[in-house]
Amino acid sequence: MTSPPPKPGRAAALLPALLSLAAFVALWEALAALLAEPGTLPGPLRVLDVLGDEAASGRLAHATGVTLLRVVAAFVVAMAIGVALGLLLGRSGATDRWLNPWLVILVNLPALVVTVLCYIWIGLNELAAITAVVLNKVPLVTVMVREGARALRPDLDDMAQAFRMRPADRLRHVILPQLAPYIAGAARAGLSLIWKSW
Amino acid sequence: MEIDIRSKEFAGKPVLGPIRLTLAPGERLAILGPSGIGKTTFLRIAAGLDRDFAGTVAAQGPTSVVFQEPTLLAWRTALQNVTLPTGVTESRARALLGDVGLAGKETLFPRQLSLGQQRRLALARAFAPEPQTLLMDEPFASLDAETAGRMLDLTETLLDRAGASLVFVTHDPGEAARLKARSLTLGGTPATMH
Repeated sequence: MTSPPPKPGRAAALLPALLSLAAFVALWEALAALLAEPGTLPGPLRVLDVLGDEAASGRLAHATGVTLLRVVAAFVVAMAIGVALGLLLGRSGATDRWLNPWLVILVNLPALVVTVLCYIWIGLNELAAITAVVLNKVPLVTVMVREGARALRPDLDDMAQAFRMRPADRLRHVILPQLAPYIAGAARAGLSLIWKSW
Repeated sequence: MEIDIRSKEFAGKPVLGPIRLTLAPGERLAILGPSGIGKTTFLRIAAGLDRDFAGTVAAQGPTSVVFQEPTLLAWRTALQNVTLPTGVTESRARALLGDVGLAGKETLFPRQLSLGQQRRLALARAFAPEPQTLLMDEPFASLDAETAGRMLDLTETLLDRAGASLVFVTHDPGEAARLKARSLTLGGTPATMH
């Protein structure tokens, strides 16, 4: 019998990550010094300098706040639509056969194309930005939740039907707990996608 | 309860019917027959879970089902596994858990219960909505003899008290005798009752 390797402590587990980050910053600084063209590749110290100025003027906090609001809005809307659509497509074969081709197109549409189109159609405003991100994220959430909806246990469906559970109770106590891992996965993947969109 | 199945087909192949059955209040009926003959299909039709057949099922009052497997919500407690599907109050659910010997286990999750305890939980759930008719699909099949015996006694006690009628599927004539149930055998192609 082999015993698992001893688990490193919390601090020891963090050490490789910190060293790796330090190495990244050092590499960045070295490349910037080698190139010696701050307009093309500013070094980390120079970036930190600008960041400090922006923070002092209050512009950084404002911009971060606006971005966060967009992220939250786009995340909430995209998750709500994606979960509802995924559940519908996973449960109804007929709907899936009709809408799956749309989904294939949307999943493969470059995010940049959607974003540019939204700005052209809606204008250079918040609504366009949020709509673009929602459109980019919904297909991903839909596909992941559809996977979960297809894996829902038929025996529990029978049980809920036999005891005539109300639809809202079924959703909350029978269906959503089974979908939870898929929704969490979609949320994680979706959040990083949204965050990188701005 | 009146069950009138003219025919039931799977992919164009007739598997059941014609079957006519009338169940008087309090009557107990065991459906025997070999595996794969259509016993579970018959029970699903009686439970209203399969509506894709020619014929009618008319039930007076609520019907409850005990499935082959406990079919519990793994993410809810024993108590919630009774209250949530059936809508009964917590105090009634507690009383039922006591009846099936699960007093003190209200806050445990299904995986923390033995298979025998999970089956008794499913039985408590089935009796919660005060059914007029109880439908059971091989409920004692995967249990060892001693546990199956205790489950049979418990089912008998609860049935007597509730005054509910029973339709249960089994391949063991001994179980039918023990529950004082009239036995019918499902056989033939398509299967009919004898």
